[in-house]
Amino acid sequence: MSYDRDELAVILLDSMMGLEYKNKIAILDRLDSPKQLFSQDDYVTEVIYSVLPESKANTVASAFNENYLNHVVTKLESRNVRVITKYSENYPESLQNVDCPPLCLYCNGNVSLLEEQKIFAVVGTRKCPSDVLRLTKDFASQLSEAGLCLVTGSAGGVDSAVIEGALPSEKIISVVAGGINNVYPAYNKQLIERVEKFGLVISEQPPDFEVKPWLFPVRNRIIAGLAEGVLVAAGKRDSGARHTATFALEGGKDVFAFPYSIDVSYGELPNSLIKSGAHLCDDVNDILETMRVDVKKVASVKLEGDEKTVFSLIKDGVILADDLVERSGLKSYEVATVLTKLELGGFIARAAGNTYKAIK
Amino acid sequence: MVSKAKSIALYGLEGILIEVEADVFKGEERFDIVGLPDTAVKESKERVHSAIKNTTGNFPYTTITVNLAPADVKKEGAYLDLPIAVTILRAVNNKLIRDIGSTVFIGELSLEGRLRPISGILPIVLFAKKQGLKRIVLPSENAKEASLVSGVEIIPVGSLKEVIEYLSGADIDPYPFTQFNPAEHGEYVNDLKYVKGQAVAKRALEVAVSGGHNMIMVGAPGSGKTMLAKCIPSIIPDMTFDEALETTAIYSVYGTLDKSEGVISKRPFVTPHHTSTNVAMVGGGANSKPGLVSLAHNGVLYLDEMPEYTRQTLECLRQPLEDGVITVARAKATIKYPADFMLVASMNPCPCGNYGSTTAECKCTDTQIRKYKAKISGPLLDRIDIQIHVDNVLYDDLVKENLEESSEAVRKRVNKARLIQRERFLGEGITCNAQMREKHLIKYCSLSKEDEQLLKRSFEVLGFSARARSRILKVARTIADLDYSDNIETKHLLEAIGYRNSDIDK
Repeated sequence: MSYDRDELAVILLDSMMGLEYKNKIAILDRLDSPKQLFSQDDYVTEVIYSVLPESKANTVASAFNENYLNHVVTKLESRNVRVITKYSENYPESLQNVDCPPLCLYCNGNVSLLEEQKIFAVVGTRKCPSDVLRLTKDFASQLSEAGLCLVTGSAGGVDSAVIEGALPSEKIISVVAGGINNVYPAYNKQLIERVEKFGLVISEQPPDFEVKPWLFPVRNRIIAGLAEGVLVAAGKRDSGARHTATFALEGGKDVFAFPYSIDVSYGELPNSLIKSGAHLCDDVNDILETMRVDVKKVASVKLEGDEKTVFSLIKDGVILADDLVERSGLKSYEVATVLTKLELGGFIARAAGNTYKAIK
Repeated sequence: MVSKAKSIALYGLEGILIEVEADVFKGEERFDIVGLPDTAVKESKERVHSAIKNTTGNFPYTTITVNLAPADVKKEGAYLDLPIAVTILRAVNNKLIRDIGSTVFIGELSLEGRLRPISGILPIVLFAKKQGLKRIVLPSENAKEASLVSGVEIIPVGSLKEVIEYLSGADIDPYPFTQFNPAEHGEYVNDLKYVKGQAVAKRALEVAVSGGHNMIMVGAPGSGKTMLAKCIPSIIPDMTFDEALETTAIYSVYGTLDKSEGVISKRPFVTPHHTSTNVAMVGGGANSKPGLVSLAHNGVLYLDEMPEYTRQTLECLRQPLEDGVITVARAKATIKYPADFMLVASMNPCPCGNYGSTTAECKCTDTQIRKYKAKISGPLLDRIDIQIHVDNVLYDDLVKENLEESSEAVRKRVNKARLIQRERFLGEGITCNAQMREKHLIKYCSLSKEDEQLLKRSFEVLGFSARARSRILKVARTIADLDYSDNIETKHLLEAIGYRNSDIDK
């Protein structure tokens, strides 16, 4: 890992957590190249003092020395963090076009994933029933197997389902809101560590930056920026996934959403997105076709007998196990047998409670 | 002159043979009891004094020393009144000639000389039988309970006067041996026929009760979890004689046995309150009494709203769930009580109770739900074979006139399934599928190659922990028993897989 002087200057500047993004940009914009910061000539000092209040300017002006630089770089290396700056060659072009392109990307994992041809985002709420999560996981594994690199957040629920689905193909980027050392939520730490190992974890903030609520929408612009398309799996009207979808739409990207019936709260966001023009997505091929990835044809399995009866009832919207017993005329233990069979075959998934949903 | 009589003390459910000796000789007037008596035993000299005086008209005013051997074991309670009185009387009255070498005396005396019943008589009689003692003289109120044990002559006595007559040669008819009959099933207030809908939950209940499987029901408030649980006594299999004896012995020691009933022939259904202390739960305290888990021995322990119990209380359940025994170690002694119960628990899916409901919206955050579920630890959950969801019943279903299956019909199937299990496990030292160990699983739960594959696939797809395997096999075995099938077939296995819910597991 080696950085050129420009990169080092940006890393050093970004490591000062007291500075705001706009100040850092203002300084860099007035210089020919970031490495000038090391020169400490009068012009640079003037720039720094004109942008920053005096107390901060003092710190910044004195920070650009080899000692401090070594300290910062060693610390990053000890945590296996590779930094990609706005001035780096491998800075993703897609990010140049977002609002306020991140100055630095702190990466842990397989950095080459950022150079993937097709990156696709799957996002959604933390809290939704397990049938949606199962579906999301299936989608994620199929999309990543088909060759898309998936990008998502680091939370529980949909984010975790996406990660679990895509991990086997090792094509997964998780963008965390705080610094890499402060994964939120803490219960997902192990999952994120697996992403570091088999995929890539990135953050816009220095490793020790604390998680703040406002960082999440800010982070979402990176997810939307990296991706060529976004699938919104589930979310309430005010879910954070709304930001990702909005950023993506503004960037002219394809937005997909699962359709839901009108009475499910976690279906509000996908439905409203579809209403305003997002692609309705009920098949992996919807995404693969739009993203121009080879569509794979899956041989359909035919169901027979009781399984067919029960499956068609579920497709008709009978979701409670007790109702299935009543409507199918089967004994409850027969229904239990059929349900497990269908679940193992990937036709249905158990939602919260004793309810079942068709996922094929 | 020294005279002797035998009695029996109880430590937990274990008996200890006590030899009571009395020496009465001329000297200053004093009455001592030695041999580690506790307060109740020390006080017995006052009762014995009055009882003898009020029965015979006088009390030997001389030096009396009573020794309780073995001297190094602490004796508790008032049950030694009778043997103490007997030894004193025999020491001063040479007309009391009956041979009492193989007779146990037990009972508390009132001041006027009547005998009061004591608790714990059944384990005492069982111990007497084991020791080869021929007869036991006890308060008549305890006779029915004691008469369950064959091979020991039960001599019921109402007062010290009768005892004196008996000792001087008069015969008292032994109490007849009581044949054990399983409890009669009357009309149950909570009968499955009154539970509308809930076909899936009812079936799960039937399977759980048939195989003695622990079960947890998850569902929104008002979905009928408690009602289903309360129906368990109406479908629970009949007790065998041995089970009834074990359970009765515990209640006898605990002191809540109904003396007129004599025996507990219905499986207990114990519902501890969630504020119950650990000691109340597992037993112990100053007298090392059995706890609620032991009172549920051979029956059901029902924990309503399981996460409301303290974590420590729940963890206390792990040993009895695993071994069927609870070991209570206290300063005075380490006592083992049997505690082989079927655990039935209920919980809400989240703190507000509406998560996953089809009718109401859940207001809890992701973290709240995680915390709530985390109160029930993985190891505990691993010991619960059947995990089901119970859904709200809609108004329309409630007013439907559908005839639901009665508890009686279910109980018949349950009893048959239990019989199959008992015959299968004859000589294995276990009685139902839930108690199977690894060696039994290999012997009785073999799967075909295809089914083995199916089970493996279910782990991959549904994300069970590896420990779930034995639970699924046990439940599948019970489902096969309900189907009178010798082998576990695919349909049995599939149904069993359905009773494990990864939603709670995670």
